[in-house]
Amino acid sequence: MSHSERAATFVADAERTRWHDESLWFVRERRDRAADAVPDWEALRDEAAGIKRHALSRLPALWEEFETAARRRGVRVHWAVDAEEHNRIVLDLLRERGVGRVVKSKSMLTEECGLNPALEAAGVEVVDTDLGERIVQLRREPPSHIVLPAIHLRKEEVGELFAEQLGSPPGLADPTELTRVARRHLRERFHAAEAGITGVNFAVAETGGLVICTNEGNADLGTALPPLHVASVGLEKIVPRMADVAVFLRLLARSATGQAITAYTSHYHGPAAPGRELHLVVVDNGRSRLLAHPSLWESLACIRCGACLNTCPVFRRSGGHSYATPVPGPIGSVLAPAREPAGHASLPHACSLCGSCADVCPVRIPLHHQLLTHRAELLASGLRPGRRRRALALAAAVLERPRLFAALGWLARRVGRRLPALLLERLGAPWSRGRALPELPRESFRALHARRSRRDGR
Amino acid sequence: MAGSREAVLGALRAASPAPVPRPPTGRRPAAPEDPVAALRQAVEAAGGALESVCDGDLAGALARLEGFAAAARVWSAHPGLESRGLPDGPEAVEALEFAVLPGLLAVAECGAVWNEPSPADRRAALLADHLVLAVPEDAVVPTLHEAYARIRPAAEPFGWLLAGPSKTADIEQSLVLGAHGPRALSLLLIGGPTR
Repeated sequence: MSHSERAATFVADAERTRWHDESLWFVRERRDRAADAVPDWEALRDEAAGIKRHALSRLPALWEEFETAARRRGVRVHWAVDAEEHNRIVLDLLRERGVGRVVKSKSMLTEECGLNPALEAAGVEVVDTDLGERIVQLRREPPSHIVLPAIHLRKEEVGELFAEQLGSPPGLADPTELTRVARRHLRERFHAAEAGITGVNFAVAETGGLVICTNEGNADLGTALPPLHVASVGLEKIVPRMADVAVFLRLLARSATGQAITAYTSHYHGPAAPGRELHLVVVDNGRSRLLAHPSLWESLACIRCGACLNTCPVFRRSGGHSYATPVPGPIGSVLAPAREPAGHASLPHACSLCGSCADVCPVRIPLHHQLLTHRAELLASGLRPGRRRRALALAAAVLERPRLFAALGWLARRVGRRLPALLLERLGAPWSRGRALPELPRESFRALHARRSRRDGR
Repeated sequence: MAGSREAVLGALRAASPAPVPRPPTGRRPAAPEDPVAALRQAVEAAGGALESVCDGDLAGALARLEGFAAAARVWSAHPGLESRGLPDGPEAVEALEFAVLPGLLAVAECGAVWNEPSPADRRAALLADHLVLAVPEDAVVPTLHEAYARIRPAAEPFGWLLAGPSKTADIEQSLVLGAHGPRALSLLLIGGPTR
């Protein structure tokens, strides 16, 4: 199914679409105010973009430096070539210690790897502890946004869900009361858990440290209470020095939600006490392949702030689930087809090339250029529908021949104006669905320009 | 698996783009004219409150916090204050009303405080209802750049930047304080002779 086919389900509820659009635009405006309050914002983006590209150009050396430092501090480092190996490593760690109950904080990497289903199939209870993630987990659906996982839901729907599954009074629709219900429910799970699984925001090569950011403090409760902490990290999340973290932290929360910093920014350098364990699983899962691409490798600079989702006119009006990928929106439309072209070939077209994503990206990933690159590559590899390929070949043939272009323009203006709009839409279907054809002008631009030049004596 | 380590690093070596030089770093934005005023604004934006304790009287400042004088269970990791009312066992931290922690420094631009807690102090700070951080008033730095130049995160197994109480906006973007941890956070800037 294509993005537009999945989006049709979402946009069928016009009220939800409007509200989703406005909520995310509100987050985008908060981001703008936060960015405007930082006098060196643009220099900061340059610095962050530069550090990331520098780091991506020397990942093997950085990870070796990291591993040496982390081992010295008692961190056990594991390597996974793909999602399956990642899940097997995590499951083995849990099994060896007889762990049956796990609390997990938000990690898009574990979503990408399908860790929850893998653990559940092996009889391990996994509880997502970020409020939004817990909501979508209880609904048995994926998150629709990387920072705001339940942004597609109304408070009444959350109230119904909690009444059904957590035994709260029916009809509860106040966000504070609903949050209290979830807090009590999750507090029990934190105490019962035998292991905590987290993602990682930054791995620091120089010190072998991990930095994890949350607003709720759920990653902290999940790692402070159980004796075993398993963290999963993608290869791209490494930065060379501890001082670099300052640059990214000043950008991350402001870009994500408009906050100056998240409530909790936790730095782990080894297990906190004797008898406790800290394991790190370093995951490739297609990242090294993306790194080899001549231009798309820059997308590995992403720090997962979600700013490109919030600003994207397509994302705001089509909802995260229409992308059918762990990371949706503009960055997801770059990452998913790079990993699996056949399954995600329509995503680079869920874009008007307006460039707003690249304007807000804190690490200056040229997202709309990358989407255009994908379009060309997907077309060349035959993964787009044949009629689209033929239509583009026809357009290219006409645009390359100025005389033919002029002649066909003349014909279109003569004939096209007399044809009923409905027929034109039929001819252009399915492209013309949802797109209004403008009224054809009487005169071409070139004719208009020539006439005016003559009039002005130029 | 050892094989996977080599496979991953080998794939990275084969795929790495041409070396990109490290950009010049160490640039610093202009410091705010009134760092304490900037800090107060940032702390309040994060849902916390800031008190300037000019006379260095921590106990007096705590007594002025709503609910502190009557609180039965107070956890203190601060050398200037005794814990009180702590029963034994794991339920002790679950029912904490206040946790008081020392902070090494506070960051004016974002309102965050750096603290290196012991495992027990960390649990208390996560489970108490009201978290109090006490920071010397001369330890306010303009931005995170200056903070990272002063802290040594790798010296301890754990350290954190704390900014405001635990919070969420996952239900319809409505901000709720106390998602999991503390519902309130007070930052006491301690000045005067006895800080």
